[in-house]
Amino acid sequence: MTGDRQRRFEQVYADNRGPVLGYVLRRTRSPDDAADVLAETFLTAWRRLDDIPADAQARLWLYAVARRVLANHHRSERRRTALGAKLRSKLASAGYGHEPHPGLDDVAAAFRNLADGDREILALAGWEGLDAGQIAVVLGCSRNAARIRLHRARRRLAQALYHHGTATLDLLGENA
Amino acid sequence: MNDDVLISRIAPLSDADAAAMISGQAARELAEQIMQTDPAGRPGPARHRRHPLRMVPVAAAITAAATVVAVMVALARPVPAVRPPRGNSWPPAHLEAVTSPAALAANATLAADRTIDPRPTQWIYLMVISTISHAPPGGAMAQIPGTRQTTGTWTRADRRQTAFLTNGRIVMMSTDILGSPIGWPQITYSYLNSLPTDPDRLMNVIKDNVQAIPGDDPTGQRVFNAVVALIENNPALPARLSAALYGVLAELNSVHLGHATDLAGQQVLSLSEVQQGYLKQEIFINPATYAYTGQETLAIRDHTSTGLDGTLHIHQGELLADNAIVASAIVDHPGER
Repeated sequence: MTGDRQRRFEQVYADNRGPVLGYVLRRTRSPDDAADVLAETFLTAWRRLDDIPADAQARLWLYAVARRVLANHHRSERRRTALGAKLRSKLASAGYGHEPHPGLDDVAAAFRNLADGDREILALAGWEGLDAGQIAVVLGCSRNAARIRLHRARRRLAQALYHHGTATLDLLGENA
Repeated sequence: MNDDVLISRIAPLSDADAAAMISGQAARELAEQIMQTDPAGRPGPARHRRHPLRMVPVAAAITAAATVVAVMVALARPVPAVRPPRGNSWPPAHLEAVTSPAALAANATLAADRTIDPRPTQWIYLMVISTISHAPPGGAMAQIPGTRQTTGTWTRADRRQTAFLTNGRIVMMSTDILGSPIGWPQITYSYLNSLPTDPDRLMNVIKDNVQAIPGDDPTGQRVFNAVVALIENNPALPARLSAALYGVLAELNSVHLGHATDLAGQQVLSLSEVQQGYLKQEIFINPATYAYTGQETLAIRDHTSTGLDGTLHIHQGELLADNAIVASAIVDHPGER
């Protein structure tokens, strides 16, 4: 039983550690926080292994956990985990992140100025590549609600981009 | 180019970049550490949730039936343990009325002078009750009022090992994988015993430690959190150090004295600080022994967090942490109570 449990966890971990770390690193600039959140996310997975859905749904479940752990992390910093010391050290020394694609500074600025909820749902679509149904799983809402929120967020992004000038509007024009 | 593509092009990094950063030994280490923890989620190494408090020395071998009965009775009632007196009189004769954090710290210092700390190889048993969080699947958010979870742990006084009960079996765990609470470079037995027990000097050490914490929290808040982190994670803090930590809190203008009833129904003293204008962080202290007995974190105003990781709404009155130590003992072996 213990062996089965460990094998299941190792499989979930191997399949998802990269994308989940990506999810976290795209939302925090602190290597310490990223290591903590990743560790806490997979610790939750270990403890709730029987609740993790199979196949691709597992990743959505993990994104949902990571999202909540990130939110909690801000106010519970004194409970920093000791897990993943090597990962923390590796992230701290590696440095990560890159400049936005040339010419997209306006997009980055408009995105940064959106409300948190709009940013997150657009990020789930654009960064994690999720569709409305998958976003619904991560956010814990209905597919229809996710679709509506995504539509509204896109509209607000378009409005924000409009205020940044025509060059960006040209980019948006390709979206028609 | 649609806007999902636009957004993807401003992503700080790709999944492939991230995957490359968690490979090899770092990846294996994290998985192995996680799988060493208690899957039932009882206090383990992952989160510093072992709640230190008061200790009662139990005879080295609990063999007499009367003693066993006494211990069981003690465990059945939410009564805080009592520090063992060194002298013949208890409590100390010169305690002052507790009307301020400074008076609390002064009394704690007097009480500490009459307290026998456990030997390095002894174990501290704690039984803690706490409320339970909802919000599956992602860890603790607001607690559910009225819920209760009881956990029991043993921690060796020199912090080399910890133990917990799972499926009727005592599971021993090395503390090698336990890190330091935020604001402390280490919490080894020797380090803790090397810390100054003068509050002013200890304050300087803590201020120096918390400078390295990223963020823009006020220094006082950092100091408060560091003190609480040390107290809540160390069942075997020397009594004099505990008193000095209260003294450090008493030096913070933001810290207030209160009287409260904890989760176990115990009348306790409290030291609290309101952080970010909405979050009341409070630790509880036994008014007879001046030992730490638990904590509570309460939202006193509605609050919405800001961050790229999603909006988090906290509502006034929500409990974010609530626990109380209801039994404790100094024993010679894990499993003993």
